[in-house]
Amino acid sequence: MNEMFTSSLCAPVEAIINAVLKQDPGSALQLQAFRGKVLRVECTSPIKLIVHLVVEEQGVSLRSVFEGEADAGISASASSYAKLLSSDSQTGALFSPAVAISGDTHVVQGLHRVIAGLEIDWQDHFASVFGDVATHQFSELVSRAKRWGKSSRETVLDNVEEYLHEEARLLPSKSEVAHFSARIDELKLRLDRINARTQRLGARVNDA
Amino acid sequence: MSGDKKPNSSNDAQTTHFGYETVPVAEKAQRVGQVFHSVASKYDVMNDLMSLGTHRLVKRFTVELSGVRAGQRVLDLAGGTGDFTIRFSSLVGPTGEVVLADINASMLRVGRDRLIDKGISQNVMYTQLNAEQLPFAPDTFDCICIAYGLRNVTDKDAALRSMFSVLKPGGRALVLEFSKPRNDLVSKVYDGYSALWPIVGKLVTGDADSYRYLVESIRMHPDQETLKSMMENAGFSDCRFHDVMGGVCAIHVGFKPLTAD
Repeated sequence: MNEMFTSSLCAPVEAIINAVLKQDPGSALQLQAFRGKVLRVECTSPIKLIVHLVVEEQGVSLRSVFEGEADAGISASASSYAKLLSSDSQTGALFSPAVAISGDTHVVQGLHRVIAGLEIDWQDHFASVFGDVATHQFSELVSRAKRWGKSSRETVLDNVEEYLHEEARLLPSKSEVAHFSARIDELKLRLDRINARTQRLGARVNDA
Repeated sequence: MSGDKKPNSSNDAQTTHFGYETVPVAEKAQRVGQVFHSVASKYDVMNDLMSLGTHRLVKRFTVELSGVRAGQRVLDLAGGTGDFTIRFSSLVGPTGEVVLADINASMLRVGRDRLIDKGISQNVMYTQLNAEQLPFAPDTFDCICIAYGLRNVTDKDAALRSMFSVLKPGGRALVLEFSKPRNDLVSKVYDGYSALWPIVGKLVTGDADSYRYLVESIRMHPDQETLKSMMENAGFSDCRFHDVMGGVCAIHVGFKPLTAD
């Protein structure tokens, strides 16, 4: 891909990461342990893209052109990167077959831990503008909205599942699928046995 | 190699281009100086307006192409308001040095104030100079960058030779400049758009003439291939260029060979 285009794509991403790092001093401190390290990040699909992430004093720099040798490399599709950043299990996501890692894996793990763990204390910034009381009320409201959103989502999913399985009978239930798979397996085994028996009898007939 | 003050000047050896005008060679630097004195305070605002902000991305890519590392010495030639110096200063770190140089005192003052306001001072020096005669010892810099500046230099060949001289062997020069669009449609759209610049310049800075000069000087600037051969004539090797936005701008890169031919 055109290097200038890649560089232009990197600019806003770099600005966002560095802005978030400024709001999360803990992560910024952890990042400094990797100062000077370079990670080659390759996206394999939907577009081919190679970016070098360089850890600098002020944060990170994303470059489309890097002439030195990277300390480590990571290659995956865009969807795998999305999973990587949202996954709770670092080891599971990082060492899945969809992600290829080369070079110093300690650098990859460390940078992944910092970037995936970036967290902003929104309440602190909100409070400095609107005051503690308003911030408390607002965060209560947000928490209630989150809880309501979560329970609503679960209820909707349960209802849809029940309708599709039990009422409309459009989809089989899990136990029905398991039973059907078991019957198929049993049928396959019987066919294998019949096939083996036929071959054995055929061999006897030929001998006779 | 071309003779002094000839290849970029008009047929008469004593005159040169100032936009579409032909002026005496001795007068061009002064006329360009007036232009930049006039626009210095609103230079960054106008850049954002004229390029719709894209000049930031182009500069970012140019810095990536520079390959500048910690501890190196960099010359930001015609550096004006210091966009490149800010980026280079962070790349070379406390062990390196960046020289922000410009022929125009007003531009240099704006750049210096801006850098000091940002707290950038430990590795930056300021010099008012003429790019045709760089007052540095040979083999001084690891990288020289001239962005949107070569167009305004009276004798471009002399400037390129001077840059070559003060560059360390193995060092690289970057020339970011307006160029010639490759596509006719892009060219026409760009021509139409740039015709608006003097009007915008009049509204923002109260000075349409300076931006009329800007538009005219872009038209008179050599195209990608010509500038590349000018760099080769000055002694640079492995010269190449990157078209930006279909050739509206071009970034030329050239290296000083490790050994003299």
